[in-house]
Amino acid sequence: MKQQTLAELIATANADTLRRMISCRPRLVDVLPLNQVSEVVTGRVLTHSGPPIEWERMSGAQRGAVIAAVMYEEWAETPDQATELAAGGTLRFVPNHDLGGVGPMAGILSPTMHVYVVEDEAGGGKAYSCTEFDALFGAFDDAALDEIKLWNKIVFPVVGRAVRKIGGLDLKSIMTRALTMGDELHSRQTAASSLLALSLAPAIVETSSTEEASLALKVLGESDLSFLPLSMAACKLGSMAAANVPNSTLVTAMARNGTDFGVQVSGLGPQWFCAPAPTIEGIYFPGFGPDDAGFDMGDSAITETNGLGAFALAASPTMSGLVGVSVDQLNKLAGQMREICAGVNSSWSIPQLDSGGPPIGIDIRKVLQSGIAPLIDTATAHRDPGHRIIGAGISRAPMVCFSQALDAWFDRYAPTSLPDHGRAESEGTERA
Amino acid sequence: MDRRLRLGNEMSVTVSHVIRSSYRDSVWLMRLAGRLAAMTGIAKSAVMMGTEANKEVLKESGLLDGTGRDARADDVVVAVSAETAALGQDALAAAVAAFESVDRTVMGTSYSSLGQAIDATPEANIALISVPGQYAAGEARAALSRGLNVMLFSDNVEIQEEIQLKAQAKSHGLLVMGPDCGTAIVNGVPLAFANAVRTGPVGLAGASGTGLQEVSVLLDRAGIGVSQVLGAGGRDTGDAVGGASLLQCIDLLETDPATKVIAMVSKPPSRAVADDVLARASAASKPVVACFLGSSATTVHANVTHVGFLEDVVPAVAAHLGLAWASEPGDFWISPQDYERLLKDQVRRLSKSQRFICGLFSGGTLRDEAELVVHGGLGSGSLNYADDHGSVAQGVLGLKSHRLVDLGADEFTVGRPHPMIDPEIRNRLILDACLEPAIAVILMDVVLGFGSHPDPAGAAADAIREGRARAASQGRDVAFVVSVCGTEADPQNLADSEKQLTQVGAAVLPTNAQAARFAMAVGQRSQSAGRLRCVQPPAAAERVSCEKSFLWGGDLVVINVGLTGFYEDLQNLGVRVAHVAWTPPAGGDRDLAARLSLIM
Repeated sequence: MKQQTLAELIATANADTLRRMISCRPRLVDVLPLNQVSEVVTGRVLTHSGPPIEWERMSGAQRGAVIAAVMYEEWAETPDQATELAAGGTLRFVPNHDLGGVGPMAGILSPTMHVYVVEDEAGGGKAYSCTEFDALFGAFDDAALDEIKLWNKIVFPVVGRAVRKIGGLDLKSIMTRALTMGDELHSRQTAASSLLALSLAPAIVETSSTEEASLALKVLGESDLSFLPLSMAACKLGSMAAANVPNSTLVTAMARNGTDFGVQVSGLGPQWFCAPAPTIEGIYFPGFGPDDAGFDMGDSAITETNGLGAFALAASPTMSGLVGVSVDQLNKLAGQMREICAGVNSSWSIPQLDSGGPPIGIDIRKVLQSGIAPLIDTATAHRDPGHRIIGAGISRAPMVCFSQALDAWFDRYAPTSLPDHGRAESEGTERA
Repeated sequence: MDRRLRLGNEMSVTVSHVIRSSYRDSVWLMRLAGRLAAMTGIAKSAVMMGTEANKEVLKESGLLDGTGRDARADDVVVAVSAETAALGQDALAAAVAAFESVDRTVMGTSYSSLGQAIDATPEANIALISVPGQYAAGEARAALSRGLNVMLFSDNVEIQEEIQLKAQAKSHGLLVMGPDCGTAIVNGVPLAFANAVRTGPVGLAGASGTGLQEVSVLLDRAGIGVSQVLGAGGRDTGDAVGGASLLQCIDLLETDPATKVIAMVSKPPSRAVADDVLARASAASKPVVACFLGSSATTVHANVTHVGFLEDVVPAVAAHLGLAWASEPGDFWISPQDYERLLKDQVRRLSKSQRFICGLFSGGTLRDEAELVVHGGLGSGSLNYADDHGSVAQGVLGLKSHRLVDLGADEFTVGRPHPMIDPEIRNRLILDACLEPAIAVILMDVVLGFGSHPDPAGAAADAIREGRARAASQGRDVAFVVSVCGTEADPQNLADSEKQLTQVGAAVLPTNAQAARFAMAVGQRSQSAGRLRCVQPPAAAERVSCEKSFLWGGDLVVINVGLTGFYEDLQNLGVRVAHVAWTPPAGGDRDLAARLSLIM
């Protein structure tokens, strides 16, 4: 038998990876406290967004979110005590991604906080995610803590009862419709959020008191981003299905903790390839500007990893202002992202792309070859603890993450093919 | 005026800024650097990709600090040497703003790959490629495989690549102009460096950029005009490539109904290629004029008229068109009175010790033609074009003979744009030459047209004025002899350009060859026109009929890959053009590119 070239091996592996990612069939099956979903999150454990990080290096917003979570769990009574506790080294921090989950912005979740539980009907995987509270931007005042309580005491239990009552909710069909209604399913979730509330409404009314049903539906329906955690969890399932394909050079995670930007690659397992998190170019709410902004943060770039968000901006004319281009230029961005992707997601159809699908399957080779860094549309948090969202915009994944991943790929799959291996490796280390 | 010279060695501070992962073409970067250098209190500036080679350049010019050292190959380094840190920061801020404004416009109007641009522009029929040499062949191959003709402006393309590209093109019925093709006018559209010339019955083909410019300009001034101007690339007429493109150009021009006469312009081809090309030309159904600079025809070809100098193409063409023409080779196209006045004005400046002609050319072929006059003379046979062009370090000081320098040669263009775009290097050498006591005449070309500097005559005039002032401070003066390659329709305007040069005391001659002959006359202290014939500039008496010529089935639709300046020029002309905001594979990192090539 003819021996396959490296390029052929990769082509086969990437096609398989892409097929797995696209054929994922996400379904919302339950809403449960995090400690019932992951046995790791028991005792004084908090999860966080992005690649691994400890308190000492955490960004301001992530620290603020830790303070809120500690106070919500009543491990401390005041922000100062919470800070002291966190700095004392008795808390354990674990990346959501390592537990099969994703969290918006700071991504700080505590053991008793509820999370959506989403299953892949096609591949059987299970993922979790949580609502984008103000606390996840770093706010820890009374209103921020009250919001966490409202969701965990009322909204999440109400939704959980409804979801169980109807035997789960197909998310793919909601996402498919939302893409034709102006959502790109990362920063714009207006249509999907309404569809979510509508889809659950009958079961919510049936399974909860009028007062609680009314409140839960109001919260779900009023937020433009109530579908964000479900979109993220659905994409995490796609990445889980696509993970660990030998030889594959497709990206399975892009995640940021406000300090570092991390990339995972299918063929390279759970290893993170990290670089300093980039800044976000965009617009600010009144009273805030670039000097106030923290760096890129959150697990929500899992949507771009799965061909949504900035990769599907063509679907979202209303996002053009945030991205800083005209409406007809959004299609061009899709063309640009197509340059670095293994294919298009033909299971989705975007009218603005001549009813074609958005590009999907970021290939580290194509990123490095073209010099085009994956684009992410995202929210901006404050650089200091104690604030809510201050703006939104776009960021670009750092190229260094991809060149490190390439080094690791050669180490693993073709260590003898590089004459100048030692030199290339030392350069990679230096960049890290 | 060059502020580097004015500011000298004043105290200064170097500040720099790195723009991450942002590729721009070198001309755009160098233009930005020029704008920064013109800001208040900025002595030196550089805007370059952060490659190791560029960092060396920065280091040598004292512009590399810690910030720049950390830049990667795909980063842009902006570095300035300023009178104060605050002024330096102003310049850096201006650079960042320039990047952001381009980001905004480029994002809207450009494509990130050739394939994308062609998908969006299916009517495109030519790709204008100006990316760095090692990448150019790949882009050209891609364009050919998608059915596009190619103009390859890039130089430093491997000769094997050139041979393969031209074979690929021929098998698909497509044309490759270049590599190193600087000039073309196709279907009325000027590509890269070309002048605004009238439409007419002459189809030009050649392996010489400024040679084609000069001939097309002189045909325009004569009222004749061109149908097409096709470039073959500097190496096309060598043995290795065998005139592949030039032969195809003759085919194209022969079948083009608007072309009545074909004219070829080239440095002397190799013997074998000359035989092939002339055999093809003599079999053509249209008359052919051949100007192989410096080579005298050894064989007579019935259908081919051989001429010695670029300007001689015009009367030969006129004869074929049946137009009346008063002049013969060697004539000056000015009145005897003007000739004597100009000559006296230059000669009387010179002292006995000033003996040599210093030629500072922006056009390589124009330099060669002048060389033919100064060192060779008409019909002297082959010239060694790999002549000593002088080095930058050597400059023009200590000259012991006539020396004509091609400032577009590689050694002068490392890290700076071509002198037709940026006259700074020539301005510097003009000043040097004015301080060299042995130099009598400074002979120059000024090339107008699309692609060139917005005011090359003005820039040269500033340097001439300054140079003469410096010479005067040493009790001397220097003769200046210039020809302007341009037309009234050029963006820089011929009359304005000539006037600026005349006003600073330069003798302006109507052609490059005549300027060179005039420079010899000045150098030899000739007293009068003597036996020389001076005739008024000839022009076709009757209006030459012209039909518009269309190669490849219709209007030219261009995909521009590389220099943004070419894109802007074409857009301004109302030509349909799609721009590819090209970036080097792997961000210009060669090791990374090599590794990627193993797995892609």
